[in-house]
Amino acid sequence: MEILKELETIAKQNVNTTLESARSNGKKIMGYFCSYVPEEVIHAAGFIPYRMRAVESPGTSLGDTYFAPSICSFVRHCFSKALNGDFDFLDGVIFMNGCDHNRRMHDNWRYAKIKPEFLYMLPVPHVVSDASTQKYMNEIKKLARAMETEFDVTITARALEDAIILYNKKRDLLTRIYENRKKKEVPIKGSEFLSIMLAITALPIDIAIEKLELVLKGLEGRVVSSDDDLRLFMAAVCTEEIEHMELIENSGGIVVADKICLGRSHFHTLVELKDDPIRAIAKRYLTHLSCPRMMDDMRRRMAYMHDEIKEYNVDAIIVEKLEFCTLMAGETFLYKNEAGKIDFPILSLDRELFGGGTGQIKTRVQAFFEQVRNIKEMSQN
Amino acid sequence: MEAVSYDYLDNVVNIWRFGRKLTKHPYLAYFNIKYFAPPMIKLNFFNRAELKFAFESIGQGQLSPQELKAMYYCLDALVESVGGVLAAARNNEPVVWFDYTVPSIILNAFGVASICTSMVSKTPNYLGADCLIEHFEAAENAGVSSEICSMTRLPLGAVLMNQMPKPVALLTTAQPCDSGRTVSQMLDYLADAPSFVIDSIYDKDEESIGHYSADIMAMIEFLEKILDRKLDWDKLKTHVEELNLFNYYLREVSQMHRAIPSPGLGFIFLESSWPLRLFASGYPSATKFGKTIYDIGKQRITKDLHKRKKEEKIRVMISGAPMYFMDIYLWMQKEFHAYVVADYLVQTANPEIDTSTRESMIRGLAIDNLHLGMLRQSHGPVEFIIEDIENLIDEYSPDCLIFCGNIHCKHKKSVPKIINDTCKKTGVPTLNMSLDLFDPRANSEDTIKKQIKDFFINNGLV
Repeated sequence: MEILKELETIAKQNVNTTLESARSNGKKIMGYFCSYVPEEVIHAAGFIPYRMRAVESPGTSLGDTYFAPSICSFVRHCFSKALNGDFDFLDGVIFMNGCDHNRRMHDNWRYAKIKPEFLYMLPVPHVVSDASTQKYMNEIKKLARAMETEFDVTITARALEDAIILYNKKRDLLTRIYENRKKKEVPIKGSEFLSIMLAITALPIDIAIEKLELVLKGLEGRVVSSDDDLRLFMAAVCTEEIEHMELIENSGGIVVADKICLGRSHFHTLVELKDDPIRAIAKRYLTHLSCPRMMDDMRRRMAYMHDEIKEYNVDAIIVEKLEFCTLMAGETFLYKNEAGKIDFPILSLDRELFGGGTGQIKTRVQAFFEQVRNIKEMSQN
Repeated sequence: MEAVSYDYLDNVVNIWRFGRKLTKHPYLAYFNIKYFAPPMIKLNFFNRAELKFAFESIGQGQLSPQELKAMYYCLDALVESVGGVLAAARNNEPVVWFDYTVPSIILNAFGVASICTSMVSKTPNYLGADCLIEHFEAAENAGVSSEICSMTRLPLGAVLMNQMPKPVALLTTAQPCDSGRTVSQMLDYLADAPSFVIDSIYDKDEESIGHYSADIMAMIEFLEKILDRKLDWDKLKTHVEELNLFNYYLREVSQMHRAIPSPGLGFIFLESSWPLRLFASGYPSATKFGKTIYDIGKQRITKDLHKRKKEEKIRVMISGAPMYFMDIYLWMQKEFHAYVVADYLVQTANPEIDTSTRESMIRGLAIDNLHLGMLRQSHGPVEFIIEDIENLIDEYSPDCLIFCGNIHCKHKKSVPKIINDTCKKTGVPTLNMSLDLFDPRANSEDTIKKQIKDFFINNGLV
């Protein structure tokens, strides 16, 4: 499918031509980290939201002077890119307290005095409650004020409502594409879905919607799975390497469901626009399919895994952790225990982002798949 | 009914009880320890690790009778607190788990037995290195990643070995770090009891303090429901007044260490005030401990000045000492006349809590809580870390800095350049170690001693 190839090209680039031309036409671009930063607010301020990424990283050597080697490779890659000037096309970056590694990037970025000048920390609550929603609303308002002051723009309620409609449309399209994977004959691979996610988070929303509509249309009658493929549920945080997912899928599996930052977590739950748009945004971002950073939502995340296994007819789970990611280390423990309760096959992988080691990963995945197939065969007999 | 065994905690409480008995008559204890110490060391404590650690925890014969008196109060508070929890658990009374970041004084006012899960990052030390390793291995064998900070992994080990009384509720906060957030969820999963999380705050402004206080109030409501009883606000006020006194003495003792020479209370003050704050907040014995070391300190910086001048050759500022090397302070004192005058993590600067209204009390507890080591520096931007380091150097005039640097602490490992640059700017020689502060498998006492010795020699301090 042509559109998927186009999106894959965009996914593998740090800056794409659409962004470049938008920028040369005077459009401003705002980088942001993590799925807890509200894209709607950035859009309503007149910016193109750009999800920060490690793709096309020159390596971590520059970042390693600011971070110890025991810090996550995603952060070290991104910071190396910043030091290398790869994010100079941005007008600002919004950080959040997703994890300790990521939030300290805000400190190092300020300390290193590198571009862009507008660097903002958005503290997001770690629990869901009425009080935390109110706190988050206040933080969103502060962010909006900071952008208004810095860039001499006005964020109106109307602009926020329009943004909510647009971003909900994107979420709806992504959900429909994602749910196509429930089919016995799967029309889209996990690696292709990852390409879509990487691409649309680096495109203006109207263009992203156009592309998603084309993808959805193209899925009609398409089949990419074979009967032998194992249906996989994949859980991870920062995953950006399309080749890595291809490696897994080329070993005899197909990712049909996920719990990845640049996956289901990004578009799960719509913004319910009933009253105040900021309240609606705060509610959605706090209650969407949560990251392990959210402390009172662990049981819902585990229930989600069980539901996905049933709904997507999953054969096995792969849970991936970037080295030194404490949050995912805990989550892996929970996933393993939950899978153990129902005697469900699970493989946990530890790796560095863009860190190579493909031979080793391939061997482990192949061995795991063989094990799962044997179990399946035995239970069928 | 089947008897419940909490072997490790029982043994630790028994050691504390023994220490309390021994130090009840401090002068007698002083001479006994002096007399028995050399043969005990020679006999390697009959190869009994708990005897060795018990001996170390009461100062290896290096503490004065007055300091042993303070130690008596410290042990009394610890026995009362942890021993009380074990007794309650055996009587089938409810037990609440709380993380060290939760203002536990509220639980005391509820009259419910409560145990600090972070306590297990310290207690296995009293039973020797093998016990610590057993805790780590229990966690690792169950699939807990060793990338999680070892301080927070130890309670998981204890829970997995069924060494913790079952809780009716868990209380925690969403700070200061990923390890804390992660392990709290894992404990919640394993305990399968209702839990409450006090949200994190990034800033220190009024709005943030308000949010934090509101969450503490919500925690009280949660406890009232779970325990089916109302909080006794008068009792809370009494406990907070006790805590105010405790804080006052500790603040004063902290300040006394600015003096040159310092009163040299590093070991007893810094090592004991931390567990007291965590496990026995608001206990009268904890206050008596504070008062006793306050009196010692006052005497030393006024009357014993000449003696202290001879004694103190190097002033050390430390950040986090390895738990399994409990006598690091005493060893530095004995070998190099090097005295720890400030500890980046344990320093007490907690302000007085206003007890005039319920709201002011809760607000005060929130602020008090945010002054806890690790929380104080790590809940916000790097400036909180830097200001702390710069202020301590400015106020306590150390001759050198020793950063033990817990290898799993993502906060410090995320800003090593900023910290190093700050230290360089001050011109104070700095030793940056990369230790695991809780896991003795990663570093030996000998390695640590060698690094410190070389550092002192290389910088002309000895």
